[in-house]
Amino acid sequence: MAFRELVMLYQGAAHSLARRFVGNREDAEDIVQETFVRVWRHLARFDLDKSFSTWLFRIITNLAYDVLRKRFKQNASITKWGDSIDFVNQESNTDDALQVAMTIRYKAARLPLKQQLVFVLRDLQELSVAEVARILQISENAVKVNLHHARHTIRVQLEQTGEAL
Amino acid sequence: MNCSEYQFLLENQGGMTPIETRELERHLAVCPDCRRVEQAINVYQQGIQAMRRITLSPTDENAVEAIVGAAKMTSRLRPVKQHLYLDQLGNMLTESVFRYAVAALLLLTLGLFGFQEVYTLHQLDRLSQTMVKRGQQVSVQTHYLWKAAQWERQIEQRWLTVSQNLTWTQVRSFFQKDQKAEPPLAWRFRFGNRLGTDEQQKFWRQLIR
Repeated sequence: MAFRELVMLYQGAAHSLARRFVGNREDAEDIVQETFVRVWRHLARFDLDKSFSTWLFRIITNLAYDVLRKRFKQNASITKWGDSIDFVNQESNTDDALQVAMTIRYKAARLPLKQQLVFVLRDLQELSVAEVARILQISENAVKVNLHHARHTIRVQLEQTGEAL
Repeated sequence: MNCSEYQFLLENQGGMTPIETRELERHLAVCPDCRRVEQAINVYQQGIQAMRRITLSPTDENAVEAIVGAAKMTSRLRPVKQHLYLDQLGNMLTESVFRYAVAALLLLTLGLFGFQEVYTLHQLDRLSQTMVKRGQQVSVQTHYLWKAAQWERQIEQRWLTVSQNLTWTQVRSFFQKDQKAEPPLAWRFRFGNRLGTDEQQKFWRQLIR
């Protein structure tokens, strides 16, 4: 398989995941580009018995984590997430669901970084707990705990703001 | 069950038994707090579903070209080959032949260290002998070993036929005469334990006197 075919096959999923992590197009594109550069550089070391997508998602997650951490330090996460409305496909969602979705995104951006990563990988990408654990290189229990805290925090905030109810 | 347990069931509705489902329904009918939580969970799940349906990025041919170009234009391509060789080396080391070779190398190294240890002790022994000959300070035991050799030479010079190796009794006598004390018992094993002949004993007595 040519490298171009590999990029074509996974570019959509990579961009989707990166964008779910960082929220805006520019950062997501940078992450995707750097991800495939790393894939190209380290492909010889990749163990073919393992899942390529897990490896790819791990690279994206690591890069996204760096971006989010940098933002967290600069206290800029809210501003960056604010522009994420532009790519929403409004036709596929009712106004209420869209509103709730945007509220969840906004709340999710305020979660601790590890919880953000688990939330995106498990609830938005619909990966299994085992896959999330492999990508983040943590235990499955740690995934469950982080996910529980993330969901609980978002849900409580949804209740408190009353936006959803 | 209390409210927190019902709320736990609400969060994990997929795994409920029919009995638990009925209990939960009965509880929800009478508990406004849990109803509010149920409603929040439903809203949360609807929101998540909506987020999942969002199309974020249709595959863009230009983006693909840009990524491929960036990957191939990067000056960091050369390490790929280097890593490949390292990986091949890593794979070779997992082969049993290489394991045996590594084990043999390890044994050889240990053997060399062992030989070096023995050789060092031998060298130390030679050194101590040289030092004794030069009159330098050495341990008491080494000193008497060397003196024993001198006494042996003295005996030979007097044309007395004695055993080539000094016996423990002889060494003990010399030590007692020289140091006015008993020699350490451990020395006993360093010398022969034969008793001399009457003639020899006579000689020792004269010598000691």
